[in-house]
Amino acid sequence: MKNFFIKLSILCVLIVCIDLFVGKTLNFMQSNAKGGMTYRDKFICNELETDILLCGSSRCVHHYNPKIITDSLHLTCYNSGQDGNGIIMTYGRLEIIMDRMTPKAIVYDVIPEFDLLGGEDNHKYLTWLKPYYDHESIKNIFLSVDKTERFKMMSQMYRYNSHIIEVMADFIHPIINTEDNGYVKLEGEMDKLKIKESSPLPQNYIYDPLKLEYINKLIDKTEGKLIFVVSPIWYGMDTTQIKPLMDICKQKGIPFLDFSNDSKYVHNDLYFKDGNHLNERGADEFTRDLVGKINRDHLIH
Amino acid sequence: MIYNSFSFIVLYPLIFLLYYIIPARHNKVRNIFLLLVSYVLYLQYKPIYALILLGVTAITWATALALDRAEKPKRVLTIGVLLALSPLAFFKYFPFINENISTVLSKAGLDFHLTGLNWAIPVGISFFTFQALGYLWDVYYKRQEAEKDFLTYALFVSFFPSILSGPINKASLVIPQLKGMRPLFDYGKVVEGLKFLLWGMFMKVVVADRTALFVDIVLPDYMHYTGLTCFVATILYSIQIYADFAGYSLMAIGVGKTLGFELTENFRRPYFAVSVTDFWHRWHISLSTWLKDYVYIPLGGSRCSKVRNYCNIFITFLVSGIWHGANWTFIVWGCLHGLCQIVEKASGQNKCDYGWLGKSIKITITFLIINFMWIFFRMPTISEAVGLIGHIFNPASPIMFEIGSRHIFAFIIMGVLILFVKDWTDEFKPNRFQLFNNHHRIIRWITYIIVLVMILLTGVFDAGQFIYANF
Repeated sequence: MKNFFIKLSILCVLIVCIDLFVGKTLNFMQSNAKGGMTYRDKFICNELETDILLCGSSRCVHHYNPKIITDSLHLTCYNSGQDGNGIIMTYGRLEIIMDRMTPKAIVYDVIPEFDLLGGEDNHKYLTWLKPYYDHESIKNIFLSVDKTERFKMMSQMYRYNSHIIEVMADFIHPIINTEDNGYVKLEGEMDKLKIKESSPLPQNYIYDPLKLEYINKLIDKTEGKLIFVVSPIWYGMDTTQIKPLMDICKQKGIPFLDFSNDSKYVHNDLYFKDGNHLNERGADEFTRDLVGKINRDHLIH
Repeated sequence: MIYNSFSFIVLYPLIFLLYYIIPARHNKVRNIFLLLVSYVLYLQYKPIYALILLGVTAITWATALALDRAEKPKRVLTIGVLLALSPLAFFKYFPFINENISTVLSKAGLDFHLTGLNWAIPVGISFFTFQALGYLWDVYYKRQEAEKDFLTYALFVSFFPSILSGPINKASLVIPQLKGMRPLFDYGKVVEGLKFLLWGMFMKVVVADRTALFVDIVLPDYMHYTGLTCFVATILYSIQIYADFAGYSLMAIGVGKTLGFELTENFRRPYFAVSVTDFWHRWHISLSTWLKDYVYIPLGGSRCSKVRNYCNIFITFLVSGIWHGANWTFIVWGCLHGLCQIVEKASGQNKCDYGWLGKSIKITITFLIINFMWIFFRMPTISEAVGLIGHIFNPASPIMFEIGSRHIFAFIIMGVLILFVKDWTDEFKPNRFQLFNNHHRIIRWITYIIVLVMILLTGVFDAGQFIYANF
């Protein structure tokens, strides 16, 4: 038995050493990424200086053209949206960004599944925050999702879990990024294969209290600089699912712009790439409409 | 116990240490400790369901003792089996039977509906019920003595490594181990158990959970993907369910070994099977053995007319389908497996030997057949399963593969390739490419470290449930 425990201890020590070495190496690669999503993430968190910050999911990434916003409002603008992410990741990123600078306005693109509704595993929203775990505010986000993350994050390698290929590729030979101030346009026409048949709407929506908590935290943190937007969706949207957010906005005086059922966009194949995402033409048109609305209502001072 | 959960990582070393603190001569105390641990862990799921586990244990234990003294043992056995099966029938099959009776009656113009049950099925109920029933039949057929010590028997039924998803152990394998004196610490067995645990974890979190990220997006929405993408998703599902279930079984056997127990082997590289019949000699071996011993052979097995033999095969796999779930999809899946084996038997395919090329072709064809049958296992309804097969073969669907995230797919390819190479070498070159059991310590240790590093860097760690835990 003694022999077993000695060998097990040696193995554990070796694993800890390798964990430290690989973790630090990946940290170096991430900090020195030359392109790709790793560089974009590093830039957003550590270097970004902008007047208007666009946040949200892939619908943010593909729907808001910062160039149009800058040309119209004469303010710098950056699209920091991240595919498959919602309020939990965005709040964490804003904590890091706002340690360094405060934008004049933050436009948050809302998607009910990622920002309000329950029934999801919130671990997925922590992925992009893992390398920044040492920030105290980020640590608290991890613990709010899962207390055991505290132990998992003791591993330096685990911080790059699922990202090793991306981090290495972006350090050695990044795939050329076609983004424009964070915006990634979707070229081409509507892909009808991706249109889903409408399913019956649920009677009662179940909300995730953690997501609502972070919505409230975001509002408090941004102190009147926040604008919530629901960008166009081909299907249209049952707006009862965003009612809690609309109520919060009404109560706290936060601008809430809803384009989800705008007849100009709903079922208009010209403007969409798939059921959830605008194509380049749609994105430009929507950004112009958004800027028009912001100007008319004097939402950015 | 979910082996890829954080609670396992914390609790298991504690259980391991406390177990080995108890001196080997106090075997009874060790067993009581393991029984307590098994029940405490089972109580974590839904405390009230521990009563069902206890109930099934008590019924089968008492029935076995009664069988020894009974004048009409068949009657005692029938009562015992029906009583032991009742929780399984009630929780798992009542809603299904109720729904189908209501549908049939409504078509006849009768509106009759019993209130449905929305209760969760007690975890592992199919596994521990079948394990207890197997013991009962063994006592009835005089293959096993009735166990007089309730605590020993209760531990056999509830032994924590295998209660959730098997293997379904035979009493003749486990009870002697529980009663006999186990060594204080068997170094070789503990190390072997840890290797099983490590490789099982790799299969689960690196291969199964990673492929699930692709499969669970494509298959539920198959109409929105090309036929080729759907076909790749079905292949990945075949790999997912193998890595998931075989990974779980390896971990269960591994945990058993670290505590000094040998549990039933459950998988033997099933996708290298040369026929569907061969597949069932390699897939979920403990269930196949159970079905052979307690369904197929009592029905007459192969010692009867050809037609009767084919009927026996069909009924056995019908039972297998029903065991897997209360849904027509599982029943169709079981029937298809039965039919394939009847065709193989009738055409003499099991005896054919075509050399290595023929073997490779047979392995490929068998895999594709198994793969298509998994579609019925995976999809929620028969119409969706048929719809998916139609979509895969739809000539109008563009021949284009939608990869999704390249990085995520790279992880899937990497994990699947490593699993394939490991299984291939174990199958065809078992003595040449030993990594975990290499006689050079340095190679063994490098293997452990690489596998651990891969688990940390590419594993999915949200403690996803094992697919077979649903049964």
